[in-house]
Amino acid sequence: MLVVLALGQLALAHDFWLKPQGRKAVLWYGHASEDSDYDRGNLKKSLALNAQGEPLKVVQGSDGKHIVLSSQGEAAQLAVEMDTGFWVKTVQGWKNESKRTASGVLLSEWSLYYSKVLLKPEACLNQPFGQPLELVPVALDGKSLKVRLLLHGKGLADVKLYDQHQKVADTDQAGEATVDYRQAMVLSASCRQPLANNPDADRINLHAVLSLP
Amino acid sequence: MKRSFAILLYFCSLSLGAWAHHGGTSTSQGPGTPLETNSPLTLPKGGTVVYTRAEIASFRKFMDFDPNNVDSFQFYQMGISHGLTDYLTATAIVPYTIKSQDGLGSTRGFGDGKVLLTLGFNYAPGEGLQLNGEEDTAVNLGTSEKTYFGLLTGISMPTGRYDIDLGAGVDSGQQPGFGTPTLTAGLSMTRGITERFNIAADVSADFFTPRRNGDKFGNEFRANLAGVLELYADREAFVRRIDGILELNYLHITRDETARVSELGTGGRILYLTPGVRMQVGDVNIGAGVKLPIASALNERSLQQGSEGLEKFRLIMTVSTYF
Repeated sequence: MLVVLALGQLALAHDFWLKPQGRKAVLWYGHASEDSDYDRGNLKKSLALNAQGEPLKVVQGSDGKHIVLSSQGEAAQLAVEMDTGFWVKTVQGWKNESKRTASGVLLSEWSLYYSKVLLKPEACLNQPFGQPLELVPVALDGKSLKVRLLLHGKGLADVKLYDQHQKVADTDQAGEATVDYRQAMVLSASCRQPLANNPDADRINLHAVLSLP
Repeated sequence: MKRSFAILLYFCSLSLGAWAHHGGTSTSQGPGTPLETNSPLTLPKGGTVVYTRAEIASFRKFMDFDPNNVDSFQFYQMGISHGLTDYLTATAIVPYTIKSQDGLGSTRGFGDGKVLLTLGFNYAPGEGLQLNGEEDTAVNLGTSEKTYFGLLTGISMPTGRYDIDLGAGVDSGQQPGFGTPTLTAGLSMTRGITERFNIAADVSADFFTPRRNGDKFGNEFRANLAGVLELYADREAFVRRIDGILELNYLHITRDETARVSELGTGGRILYLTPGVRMQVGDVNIGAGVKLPIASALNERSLQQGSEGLEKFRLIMTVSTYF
């Protein structure tokens, strides 16, 4: 048993996150160093902003396994919107289907990811893309990073922030939190809201992911 | 009063199957749960599990006890668990027992009915302790960083017969019922260690109340540790999952009392090793294992034929399903 304890690792919940690669960004799915397959059809939108906060055209490529994003012009940050569709949780586990076709549903949700990467972090302060749920850097001093979590443009309070799935902070009343800054960090936050009169899911689960070089 | 039988194990681990992004989910009776060690996981609010369980104990026989050696005990349970909330699960159990003794025959009948409540809570790094919510039921331990706990309390009522006479007087140890209420309290935990391996542990106690004449069964204290390894999983197959289970089960029994006087030939300490397996077949979970006494320190071993620690084995089987 101790051997297994020593060798094993939990497979934590997955996130879509953008891994910086020079002036490009590679879309990964998984936790930490996990590199799981994903459906490229889940990518609904890709965005880029330059250092002045102006939008740039995004070019989608591939390295064979991952979607690779680059921009026409020098991007300071890149972002994607991933829609993984409807999910139901039964005693058989989570399944990627609508609640109208499943039985014994305990939970149902529509899961959307808003992931972004800061290629030039200092140039991205207070420069949101305008995603429905978005982690926006507001201050960076080399040791700490202050972020603001926006839900439809407004600060969202009392939400847990995770770095590599370890909780690192709660957002305050302004939706802000300060965390220790380190290289290659992947911050994430989630927000669930009820979906009224939706035949496919009872709630929407929004995920915001912010990765830094 | 001769102490010669075990009460049914209230902390049955029933079974429900499920698979999420990785591995399978676990409920209080689901895959990833052991056979003997109590699972702390609570059922989803409104969710119901029905189960049956059989335990067959075959005893070593001693010449000094001829011709009336205790031969075997068979314990059967019907149980139902229901999620009152996501953090509170209620369980009701009706046991049926058959106890066989050489030369005298068998006593059989319904035992003492029992009700239990499990309060489920969890600990997450950086978040502290909190009661289970909807995300914590049917949870996939392989993808959760949380450690789950269960606080369990229960009481049995003396609904079973305790006055059956097979021709050699009324032996309390051979009766289906105890004749008095029993109080149960326990604390259990489980957590995933890897995507395919989780551990569970529990400590619990059963406190027997005395009869009017001062007779009383010895209290029972348990400590269990289990490891559950997912050996096979295919959510689309008929056999969806197979778990391998290995448990250590410690039992300490205090002396019985007759007219408030401690009795010889009762009580002791036993350590069992229980290898087992669970299978999820369709919507039904099937578990089986054999409980082997590997060490014991009985108070007066030569007087305790038919007691815990002197079994050849205990065979355990369980079947359950979720509604």
